[in-house]
Amino acid sequence: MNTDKYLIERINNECKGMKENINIMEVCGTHTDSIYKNGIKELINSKINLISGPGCPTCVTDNSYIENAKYLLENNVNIISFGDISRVTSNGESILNYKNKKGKVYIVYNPYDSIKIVQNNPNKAFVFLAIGFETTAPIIAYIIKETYERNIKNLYFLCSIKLMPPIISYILNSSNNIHGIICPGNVSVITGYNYFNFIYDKYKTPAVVSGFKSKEILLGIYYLVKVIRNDSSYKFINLYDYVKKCGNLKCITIIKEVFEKGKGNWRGIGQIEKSALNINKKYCELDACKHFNLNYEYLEEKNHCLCNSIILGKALPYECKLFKSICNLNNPLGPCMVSNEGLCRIFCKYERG
Amino acid sequence: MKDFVESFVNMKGDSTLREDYINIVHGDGGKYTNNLIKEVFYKSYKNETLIQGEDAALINIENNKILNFTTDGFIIKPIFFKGGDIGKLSICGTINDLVVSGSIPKYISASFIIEEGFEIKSLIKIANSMKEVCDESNVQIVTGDTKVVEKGKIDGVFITTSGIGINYNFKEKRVIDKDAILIINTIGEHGTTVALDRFNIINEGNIKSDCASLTSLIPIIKKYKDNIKIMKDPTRGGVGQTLNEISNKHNIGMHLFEKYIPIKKWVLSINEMLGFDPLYLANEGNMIIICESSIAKHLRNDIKNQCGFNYCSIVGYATNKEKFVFIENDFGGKRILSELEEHLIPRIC
Repeated sequence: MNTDKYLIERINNECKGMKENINIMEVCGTHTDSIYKNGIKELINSKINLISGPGCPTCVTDNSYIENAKYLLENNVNIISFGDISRVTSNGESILNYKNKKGKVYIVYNPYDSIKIVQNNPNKAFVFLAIGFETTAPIIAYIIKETYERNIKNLYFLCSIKLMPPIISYILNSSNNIHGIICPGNVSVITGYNYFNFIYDKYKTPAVVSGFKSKEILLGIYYLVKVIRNDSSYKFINLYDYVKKCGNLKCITIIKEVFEKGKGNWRGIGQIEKSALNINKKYCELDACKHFNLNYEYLEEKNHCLCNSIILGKALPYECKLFKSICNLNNPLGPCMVSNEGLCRIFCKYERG
Repeated sequence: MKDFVESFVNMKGDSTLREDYINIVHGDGGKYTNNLIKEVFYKSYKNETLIQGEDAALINIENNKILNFTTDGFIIKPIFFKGGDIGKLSICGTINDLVVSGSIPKYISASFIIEEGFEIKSLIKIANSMKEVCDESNVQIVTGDTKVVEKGKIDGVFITTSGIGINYNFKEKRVIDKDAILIINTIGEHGTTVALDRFNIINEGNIKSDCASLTSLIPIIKKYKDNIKIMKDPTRGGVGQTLNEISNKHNIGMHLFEKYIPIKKWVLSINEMLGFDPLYLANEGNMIIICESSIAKHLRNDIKNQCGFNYCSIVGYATNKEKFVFIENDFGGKRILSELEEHLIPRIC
């Protein structure tokens, strides 16, 4: 019998006679996408609620970041960006389609391409929009370090690299309704799996670190259901083969060399202390915020966009008035519709809705 | 008949043009392209033949002789890609439209718009590619045109080809419950090859477009023409979009099975990295055939054995149980394949 089918059977057996709901949150957009793409929800016991958390870096970026990028464009600075963030709208306009821009927007897939771009245009100023979670941090750190060491004078970085533990803590502090958490395996590859054991140690919530294939997610769900049903003593377990306890030392070293923990702006929440990686003193001349004197105050979203609640697992896309009407795959307003890992976009792609 | 034509062009699509200007998404071959065609072009030159909206127009000459007539514009970037170039693509594209509409391709016209400064060496290469495909497919380029525009006004070279084929009395028939859906070749290769080049991703190995003429299938199609309901070449928008168009037209759902979709490992892994769904990537040497379930296996075997399409596969069947297109994985999980609505972008994390 195939592994996925077997795991589904085991999960459903474990849930026989279950009267209460089990709420499991996964905090990585890639997990969200895999769950919906594989139609997992419909196959497991309906009392298991799979809730999507804030694991999409585009989705958790607040409006101040977008406004800062637009301000730079207005002042003849060029922007280099990943595709997603350039399409998120703030005050009705995205970076890509900003009407008052004097600078150009360059979309890259590989962030290292920024170095090539700035070298081809030595008389122009560029800012790279460095957004991501722990998985993106090492490569951004590497590029910042290289920019510094090669004395490249026209490339700066607007960093919004977020950390998972603070946002998970925020959610667990504000809700006692999450019974288990699925943590992203790719983050643990960088940080080591102990990065997430605070979820049980501090909050007494069981957690698993899992990969992204359907059978890996199902294995994670199975373990959580067992623990929650008091049928297992594993409160925290790593199920992802590629994770070493110590993580990836090279990555950890370079992150520590370039960044320091600082305030982070989270969409729908505000500022959370020590929740983001900011460029440290040694490399601060490359920090776009400092160089261009940007305001980093949190900016609230003013329209009816429900992304704020959706990313915290408090609402579903259907509940948003703008969903699939004004805000759709081709005219996305909120980040959850722009990003490949945003729940609204995932719903549009895979659900009948 | 005139009333039908009027009512058709007056039907509003569910994504009416919200802006006054063409958006890049209007060229993606999906929902927005279709609505643009309805709202601008059909409204202007409405006639019964045009609004059939087929890959080729069927023109009644006389005494029940029918010619198939088609046209296509080619603006691909990059102009030269692994597995072909804009010239090869322009001929294969038009030939394949004639093949899927049930005719034997015969004559092609080729119209070139060339940017000032374009290398003649490259133009010769393109012309030779076109000749090579024509020779293989027993087709002739019999007329053409050449225009040059100033540097910077277009991107290298654009080609428009039109083609005529002799119809052998194939008729598109209503798709009904349990009709089999076949895909003759592995999917997503052309789209993936172009994406890799567009994003400047260096790759090694056997990665190339599937761009090819499908004339070798004609004898088999003729053999089964009374049992074949519909044929389509899944170009822009890929298999996903093409099946949606058929589903909408015939008002029938489709149930596909992931394990039967023919796809190469490199396409799967590259797209996992890029964040695209291969079911929506362009194919330029592939065909979807929907046929009566009774002959599906015979058709598949003949295509495999006699035409050399070793990956030809029955991927699913039409169904009355749902009205949409959906795909089931190997443990029973299902997801909907909706119409292509957007410009595909890569993921960041």
